[in-house]
Amino acid sequence: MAEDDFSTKYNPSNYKTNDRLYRSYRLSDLNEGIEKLELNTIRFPDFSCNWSRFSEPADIRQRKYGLPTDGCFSFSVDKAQYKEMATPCHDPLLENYSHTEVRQLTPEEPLTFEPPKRRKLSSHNWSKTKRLEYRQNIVNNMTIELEATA
Amino acid sequence: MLSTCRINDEVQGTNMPISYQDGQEYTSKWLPEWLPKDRNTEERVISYHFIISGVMFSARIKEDPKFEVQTVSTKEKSVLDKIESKIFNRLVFPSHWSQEGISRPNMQCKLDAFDICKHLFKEYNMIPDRIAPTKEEGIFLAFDSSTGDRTLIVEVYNDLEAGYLVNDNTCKQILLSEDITDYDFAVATNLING
Repeated sequence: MAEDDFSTKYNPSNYKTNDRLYRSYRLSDLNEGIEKLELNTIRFPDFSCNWSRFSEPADIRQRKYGLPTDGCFSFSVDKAQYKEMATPCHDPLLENYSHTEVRQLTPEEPLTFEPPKRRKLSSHNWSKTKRLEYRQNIVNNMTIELEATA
Repeated sequence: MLSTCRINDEVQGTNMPISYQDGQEYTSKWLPEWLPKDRNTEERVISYHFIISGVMFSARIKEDPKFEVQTVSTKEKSVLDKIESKIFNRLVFPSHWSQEGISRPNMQCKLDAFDICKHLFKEYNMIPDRIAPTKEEGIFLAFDSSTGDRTLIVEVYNDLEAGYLVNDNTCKQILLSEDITDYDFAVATNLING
């Protein structure tokens, strides 16, 4: 970390495709009788993550509203960029330099483009089917880093 | 009145509305519609036991060739009642989703989700293994294959759009995904049922 300047804000092109993105979950996110996360607990972008370059899985418990019982799953940057529907954008916070928002792209925008924060896109930007696929692809490729305990 | 109905000690239906008044003799008037009404013959009589509000009632009723069909419709009603109850009364919405600004499924979305369940049950004999809210604001339905290696996932949203996909849980691969427009699940159910 010493070589990184913490005043730097990175661009989407600075993410390596095999970098991991960490996201929290709770036991109540699991469907009844199922021990793994399913599609319904995954949001379509935009959503927040921590970037593995600057954080460890357990750091998600230190975020605002985080709990010591929170679990953590991860997925790679190339999965966040599935079918070029979204891309990770560095959004450093005072208390969390690794904070990353996976932001939705329009079909015309390249993966290197950084969509503005809180940009509102039409819900028809991507079809429901494509949005379903995006979320299932994350489920199919996620790794549980820490099990939720409550 | 809601009750559990047992026939020859086997549960044949639950939560069935049955007309009943205390202290009155059980006559065909009080029998559920799906039961045979003719109780006069002595041949091939079957004993029926009704448990209403915890009290068991017995009736001896002639076996009827129509009975099989009527039994099926009773089971169908029971399955659909359970699905309906889950969708409308027993969905668990995690409290922290509200903090994240996620809306609960609305009534029309629930009605549409139930319609899809009815269709999948009646046309393809499929019963959802899991019914839950989705973070995309709507209802999530999951139908597993008998081996569990494939799942049909349906989501109905508060804006009343709906989509489905079939996932291969072993290969971690999406096999099919479609918007739901005409309730045609033939290809999806073929993938699930092999």
